[in-house]
Amino acid sequence: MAGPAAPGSLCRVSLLLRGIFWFGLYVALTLLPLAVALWERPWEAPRPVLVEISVAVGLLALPLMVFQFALVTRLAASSRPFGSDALIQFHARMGVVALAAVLVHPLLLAGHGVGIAAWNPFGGPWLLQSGAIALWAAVAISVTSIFRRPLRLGYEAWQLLHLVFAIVLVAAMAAHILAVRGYSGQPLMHGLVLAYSGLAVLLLLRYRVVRPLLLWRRPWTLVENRDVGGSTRLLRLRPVGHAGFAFEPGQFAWLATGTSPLWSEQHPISMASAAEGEGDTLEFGIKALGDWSGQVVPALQPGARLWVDGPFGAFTPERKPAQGYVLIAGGIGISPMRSILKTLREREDARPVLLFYAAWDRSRMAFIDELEALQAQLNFVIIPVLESPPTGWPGERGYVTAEVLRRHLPRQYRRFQFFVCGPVPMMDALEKILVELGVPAAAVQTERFDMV
Amino acid sequence: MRHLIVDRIVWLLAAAWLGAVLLFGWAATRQPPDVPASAERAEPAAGPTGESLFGQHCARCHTLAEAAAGLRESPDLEAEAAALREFLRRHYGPSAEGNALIVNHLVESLAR
Repeated sequence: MAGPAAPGSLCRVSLLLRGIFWFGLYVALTLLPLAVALWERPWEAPRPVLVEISVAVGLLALPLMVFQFALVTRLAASSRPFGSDALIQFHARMGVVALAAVLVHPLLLAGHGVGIAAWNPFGGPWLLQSGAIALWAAVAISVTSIFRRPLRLGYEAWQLLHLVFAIVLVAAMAAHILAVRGYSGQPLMHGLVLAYSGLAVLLLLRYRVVRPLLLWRRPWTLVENRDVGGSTRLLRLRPVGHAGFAFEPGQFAWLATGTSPLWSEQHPISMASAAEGEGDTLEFGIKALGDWSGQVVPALQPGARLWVDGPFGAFTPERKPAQGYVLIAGGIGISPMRSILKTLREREDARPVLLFYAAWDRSRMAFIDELEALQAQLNFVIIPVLESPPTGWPGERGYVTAEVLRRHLPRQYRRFQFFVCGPVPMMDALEKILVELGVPAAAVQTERFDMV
Repeated sequence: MRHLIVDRIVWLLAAAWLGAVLLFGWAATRQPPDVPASAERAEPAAGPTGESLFGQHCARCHTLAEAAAGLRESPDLEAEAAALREFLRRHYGPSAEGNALIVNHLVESLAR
């Protein structure tokens, strides 16, 4: 059964071009200091090659660290082509690369008179001390991020530490490069280092001050807060004094409760409502998994004020053509699937949709009654997969395995788009399984919110 | 499976940056093609002085008195000067001639 002609193919090309532009700009700006250094080259005679390589590594580390801010400060224009979760993952990986650069820089100078004393952040000439401060700040960022859970560091405390260490790191790095007055003694490089430092400050101000202030002026009010099963609350919000925003089904937004988005923590939550046909209201499915979702959210009363920063994410069927959809959800991963399904219903989309819904038992399946009702309104089938089914359960049991998928997928499944959202081990396993089943890797979308 | 694509891109970028850094090392240590070797050797005498080279390479972290302390206290000035030249070579001084100019400048400072 053919679906509507590839929706938004022009939009997809535009997103691709924008992605290429932003990626190209990122690479060019990280390499710019090296090009400027070579252009200005202030030395009368060549210096040892290890010294120059060390300097190059240091000059590369600064833009790497500055653009770490750009990757996670919710710049809509640059995050839209890639998806915020991909950018956050890129940010985490690049943090390791930047740490390697910061460590390699002094190590390469060890044979040239820069000894262990240069690693002391508490003394010595400012030239060396600033470098040592940057180095230990980079180590602190990495250790607290990689070992957050073993260190029993709460997410909010980690977030604050991460921000403080990052500011110290970039400031110390810029101070170090300027204090060396080697390449940075030249006017263009000096200006470039100042420009990169200024960019970091601007990004930070925009993220921590300007954006929350703009959000503050666009509040939302809670219309409904109800239990939808599976320890999950459905929040229905309506914009106050503004028109809300349009989104693509499957995307997410950052939700803030409390007195102001300036100091309230924000949580990434998938939209659970249809992207069309529901006016300006938004719905979010929130499962009780922590202090905020388990205590604050259930206590929210209609009329409560919230702030919604969005939309973000690329976990959406809008961007690629498909002859049908296979949705595989576990836990609260059902939320974006609900949004996709309800949007397809609003569009009277006739393409086939299969939902593999994994849970411990039926009582832990959020939205299950509503989803079952949708089967009569769409070309849509639910395949519940229960780990602990009741006696006599005729359906699938255990996990969503290759065998379970083979039993239910239609013959033309390789031309479908697959969406997987749930616990990380489930998504990892299913990615392998789907590739083994011959599904093209580009047809498999996952949504990962496991930031640290 | 965007996260797998992200991992691949990170590896590619890391390799590209490593290449860029090595290329920088090669380019920065290459003699400019239009400067003959003889002109390069003559440069320290014609251009920078020991004082200017000291200011450019050493003065950020060391005062003149600090830098010359070893020379002042050594019983064998020649040997100490040679050791200092060798140190400067390892400490990425400007060039052999430049290092000699810096050491001469320090020796001259002892007489002041």
